Amino acid sequence: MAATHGIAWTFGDHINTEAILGSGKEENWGSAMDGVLAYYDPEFARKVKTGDFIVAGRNFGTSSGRPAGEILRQKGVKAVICESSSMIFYRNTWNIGLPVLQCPGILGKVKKGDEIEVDIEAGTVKNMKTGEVMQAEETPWILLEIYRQGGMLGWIKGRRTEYKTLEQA
Amino acid sequence: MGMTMAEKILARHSGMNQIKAGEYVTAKVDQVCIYDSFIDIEKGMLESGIEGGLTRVWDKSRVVILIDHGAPAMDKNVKMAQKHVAIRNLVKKLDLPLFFDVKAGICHQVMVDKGFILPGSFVVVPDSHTTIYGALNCGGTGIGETEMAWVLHFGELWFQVPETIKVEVSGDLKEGVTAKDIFLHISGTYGTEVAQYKSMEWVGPTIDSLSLDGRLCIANQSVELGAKFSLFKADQKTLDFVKDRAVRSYEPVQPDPDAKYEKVYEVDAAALEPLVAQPHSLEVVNPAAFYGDVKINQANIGGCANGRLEDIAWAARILKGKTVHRDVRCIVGPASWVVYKEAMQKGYLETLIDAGVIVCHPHCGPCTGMMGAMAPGEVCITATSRNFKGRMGSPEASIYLASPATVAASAIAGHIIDPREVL
Repeated sequence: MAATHGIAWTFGDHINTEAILGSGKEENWGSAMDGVLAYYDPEFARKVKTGDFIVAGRNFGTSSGRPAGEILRQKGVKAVICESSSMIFYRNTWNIGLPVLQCPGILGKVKKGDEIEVDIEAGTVKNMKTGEVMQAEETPWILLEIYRQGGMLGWIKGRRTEYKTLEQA
Repeated sequence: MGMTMAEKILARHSGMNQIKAGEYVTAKVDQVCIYDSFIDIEKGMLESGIEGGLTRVWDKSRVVILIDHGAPAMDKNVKMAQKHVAIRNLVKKLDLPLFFDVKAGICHQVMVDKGFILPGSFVVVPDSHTTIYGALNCGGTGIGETEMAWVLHFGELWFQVPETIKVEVSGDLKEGVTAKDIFLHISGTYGTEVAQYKSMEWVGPTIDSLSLDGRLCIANQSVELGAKFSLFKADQKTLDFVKDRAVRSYEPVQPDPDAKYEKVYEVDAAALEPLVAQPHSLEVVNPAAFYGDVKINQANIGGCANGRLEDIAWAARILKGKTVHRDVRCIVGPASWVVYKEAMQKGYLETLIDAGVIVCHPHCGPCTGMMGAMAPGEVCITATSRNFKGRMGSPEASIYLASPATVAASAIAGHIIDPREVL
């Protein structure tokens, strides 16, 4: 997969899944879409464009295991690049087909509104303004493989033949 | 080479004799529990073109389903009620026998109460607080909904074997200082990423002397430190507890004497004070007395972190013969009906009601804002799991997190106090 360009939206440390989903709004996806990350950047939900990136600090996606990455994907976010990511969010988000790159030092190299180029397979992030290229930590090969097959549900489809239906069992 | 408890549990469930941190394994799962998101799993499958959605599960005796988050459907929320109908229909379609609907309580406590959580076993739940099962020497970890779809098909899932950090706790806790304060000490001292992707092992004489309720609190809260597992050794207390409720046979795991730990942390429990984490993270922690000028509007005790008998006993002990401050709503929610009934039989609930406490039915509400929502500018002190921005309603509300003892004492005073002031 080729590298893609987009605008970076920056966030700090410990952004949790409640904040990503606009806490308590999960029963109402429409208002969650309007309130995504609003606690930290009220502009984000209105102005984020398809192909943009989230650049964040430590422990992004901490807190509950609900699939908060899904709302970012639906907003058009192409990848999350963070200093570090909370465990369940990390796997969850790759599994729905939205990559999360852990790239220590990224928040010091990219500012809100900077154009960046991200190569998921290579794990590189380039700031187009400064030209600086940063290398993210290696992604577990299984997650990359799941991502290539369209996420975990795509992976299940690929193995469904091994799985008997009620009628076959 | 020696193995840690996490390595042993993953090795045993992957059919391997020897594994070490960093390796990838496919581990068979002993038990799963799924709550309100059960229907979202099927919905996601259908939306991605998996024909028929869920059509069977790998083993019906290993799938527990219940509804605990908004249970029963509340606030005239018709969407929630419809979701519950869809869950019941899906349970019928799959003919799942272990379904407790809205009637049992919070998933993690129900799993413990009913003997599904056993030493040496391996359990996944699409919920972050699944680390709680480590208190009973069971490898528990939270997974995502799409991963649960995989587990329901195949009864197994891939894992990278985590590094383990060991926490050695020694010394006698002072009166009024509890398991929750041990957790708060760790999060405040070492930060909320100290165990990111790692397994924790809790050892030492203080841990040995803790009740299972105390250990369950620490194991539950370990996910706030990033932990993948939070394991305790199975001792006589553990074995006595599971003896008559175990749904299947089990074999505890012990760490090998030469197991490899990434790091060892030592905690002097005798030096700990009742602690409080301030809004909106668990990283900034100070002695309760430091926040003495913080007035509160609400005081919560419950959830899967602190809705157990010992927690309610603390509340009852402190509130006995006292009255909740006129400006404070105090909400106590037992974690399951088993706990509720025990608390009732011991007279705790009567004591709490006499003191003006709102005792609520077992569900996740006291921790999630589904019960006792906070208005902008309001302040809550809570013995639940999290103090994050917006967790209980308005993002402009402030949530302080502390032990049940500190919360109950603060409910009387109307501001945050050290519980030893009222003991």
